[in-house]
Amino acid sequence: MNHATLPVGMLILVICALILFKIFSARRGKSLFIRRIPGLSAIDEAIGRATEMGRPMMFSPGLLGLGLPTLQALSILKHITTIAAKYRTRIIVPTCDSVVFTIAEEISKEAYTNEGVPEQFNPDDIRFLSDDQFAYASGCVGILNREKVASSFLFGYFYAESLILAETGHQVGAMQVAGTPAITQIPFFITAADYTIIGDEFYAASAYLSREPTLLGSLVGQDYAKAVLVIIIIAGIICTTLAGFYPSWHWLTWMDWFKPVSQ
Amino acid sequence: MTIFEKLQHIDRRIMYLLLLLVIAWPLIWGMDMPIMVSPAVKGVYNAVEKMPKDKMAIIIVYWGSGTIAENRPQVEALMRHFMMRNKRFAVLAFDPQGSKFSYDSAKIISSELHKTYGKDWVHWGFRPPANLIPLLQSFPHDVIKNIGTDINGTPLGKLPVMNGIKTIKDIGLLADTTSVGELDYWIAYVHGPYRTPIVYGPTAVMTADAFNSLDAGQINGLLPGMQGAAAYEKMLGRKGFATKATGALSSSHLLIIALIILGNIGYIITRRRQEQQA
Amino acid sequence: MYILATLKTFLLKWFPIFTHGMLKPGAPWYAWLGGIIGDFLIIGGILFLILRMVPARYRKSLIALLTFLGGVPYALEFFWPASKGGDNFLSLFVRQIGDGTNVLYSFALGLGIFSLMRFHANNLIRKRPGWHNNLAFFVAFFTMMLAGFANSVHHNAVNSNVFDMLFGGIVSALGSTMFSTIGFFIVSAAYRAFRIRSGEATLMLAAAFVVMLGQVPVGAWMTSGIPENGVWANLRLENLSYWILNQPNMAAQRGMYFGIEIGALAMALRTWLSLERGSFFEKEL
Repeated sequence: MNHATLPVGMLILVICALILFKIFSARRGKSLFIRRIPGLSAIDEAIGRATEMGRPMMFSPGLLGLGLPTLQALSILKHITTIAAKYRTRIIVPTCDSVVFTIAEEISKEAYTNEGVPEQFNPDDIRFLSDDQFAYASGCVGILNREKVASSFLFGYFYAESLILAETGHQVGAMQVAGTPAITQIPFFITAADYTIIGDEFYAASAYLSREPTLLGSLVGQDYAKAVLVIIIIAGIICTTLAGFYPSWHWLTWMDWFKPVSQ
Repeated sequence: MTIFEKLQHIDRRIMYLLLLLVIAWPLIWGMDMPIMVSPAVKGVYNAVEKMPKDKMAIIIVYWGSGTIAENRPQVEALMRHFMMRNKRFAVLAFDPQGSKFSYDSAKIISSELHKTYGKDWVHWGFRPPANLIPLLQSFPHDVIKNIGTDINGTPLGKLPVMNGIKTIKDIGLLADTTSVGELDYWIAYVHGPYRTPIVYGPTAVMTADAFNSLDAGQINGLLPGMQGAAAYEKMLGRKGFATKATGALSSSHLLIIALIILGNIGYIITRRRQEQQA
Repeated sequence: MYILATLKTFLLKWFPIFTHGMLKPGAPWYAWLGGIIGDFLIIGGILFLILRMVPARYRKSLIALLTFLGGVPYALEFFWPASKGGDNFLSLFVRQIGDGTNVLYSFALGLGIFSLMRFHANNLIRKRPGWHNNLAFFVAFFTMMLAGFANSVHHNAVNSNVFDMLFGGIVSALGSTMFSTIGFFIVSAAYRAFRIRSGEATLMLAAAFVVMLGQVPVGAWMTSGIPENGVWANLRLENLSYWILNQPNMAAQRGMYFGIEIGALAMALRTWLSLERGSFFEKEL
């Protein structure tokens, strides 16, 4: 198995410490700034649009099982479902994983109950379609067309089906907000969706939507961690370049410490 | 609506029909195009050439019918190369459809090159994707025990092709053909700790992502989709499906470029007219 | 068979309450079933009782503690130095817990199938518009299931052909069809998206043209007049395309990866330490 070497382990611990430090300082009441992310601001607009049109919305949590991207997608689902319940707007959640399906069902049920309208929750709106990639995609395409969806949210980890979902959404005239950490699928969302959340903005979504101090602190901690990595990279570039010019300065090739140990 | 406004809003059904025609035409009537071999494809070829004969290669098949046009030519070219050089290989599938497709392909190529199943190559069959990581974790200890049987249910220990293959250290090359993108696992569990060379055959859309690993030396070579398979076929000196389909690839790309240019002509002229009127 | 073998190893190793006596080699299927259900009932029951017995204000802390303890072996296994074989004292434990998780996860598939059945049965019984599609679901579901079972229990030419016809002739063909629609969607999406609206968009369009042409033989043919070697070779479309993919594209991707992976690490940390509470559920346990 792959294990942390001493330098990698120390780097991870430093990053974790930075994130935790900022989380706890945010919890103590330190105010933190978060820049505007247009894609996430557009979520409310998309819900409002569906409410005005009296048509349902669709939320796809991606094709992955219960991993980190799906957990993040589910926290966004919670935010959307809470507003949808408030405005009595229907939201259809097709899933491709039975565990994700169960959690999505609980999230929706709780959102409607919290808004005092448990009878509005329709268990048929949270659906398990298939765990096969294209069977799932064709099921979503069917929902988008049959239900004349007004707004479509695509959050989670997607593969090749991303363009099928986004382009069909565009064809039925749905307002679309999409976000994924799958870098290869981002171009498809950019071309077909109205708003796309790119890269690490995806993991900033829950902090942005909830403004919880813990999540905001974590976000700032992440920025500090990125700064540490940038410093290491710049130092590494300088040292490796110098080592190229002066081969006797072996100690300059310290970047090799971060390579995995051969067994 | 003027002609320039119409150019900006071409009916998608017309575009789809045009695409169908420009793909079908070269596939039916043929269209020879020069194929260039990139350094990434040469890397795959060289990795197979350099693999020691006492070791075995594993071809991972993690694709199904959806990406068969892109991934099957890659697998077939790899199988052909191994058989041409008398090097042993095993196929391990994480997709039930891909398992069948790769087995059928291997049987055809092996009969063409007079190779014997169980002696020159073996198909380990399909394993559920959930077993990918447990299998990766078990490879350093005992490959035969953890794979167990081949696609026909024969215990691996009874097959001569497995002679001398015990752990991951006896694996000389890992060829990952995929539409899923699980390369990171192979790098983390196989290349990282054991330095096993990896070559990668993703679909074309996943190619951009793979250059990171290629540049970092984590993979030795890359077959970018069907075009990569065509270049590999050229290096092997045998025209397969990928070579025949390169005409369709070219014509479809040209159609997209032509449509984008038309849309932009309409957009620029309409915008200029609006500015002049304003 | 692999799943059953894994399940057996896992249960015997970590949950020997019922299974130890019942799941011996050659044990009948009802012993297996009884052992599995017994284990689930006992472990689930113990956890449920503990949760009920603990005062309400400590429940969240208890769940947080269990979550933390659940994650400790994984973290320790990664950070603890490995011996020469590549493992440390926790590697085997983590592998078997992983196997067990896979098995438990596969049980959840039943929930998904139940949801599918419920949805389609509701529509069918109430004869909602499009009910014939719901009927088609049941026909397809049971036909495929029966063909699969028949082929694995009695593997003969007829069953094999029926299964191959359904699997290769319908399921595979449908998969290929859905994937091929991406080709059509790419045309309409690219046509709509690539408009020269700004300087950046123009640059993007130029790069897209170079990469698109460089990836296919026609690009190589268009610049085939340029020598293959020397400085001028850099202007050949396939080389320009390779450079764009291998240099600027990779720099951008790595930048994004840093952000994504640190974001994922932060989220994992918050989940492990139960700092993420409120993101999914709000009700008190």
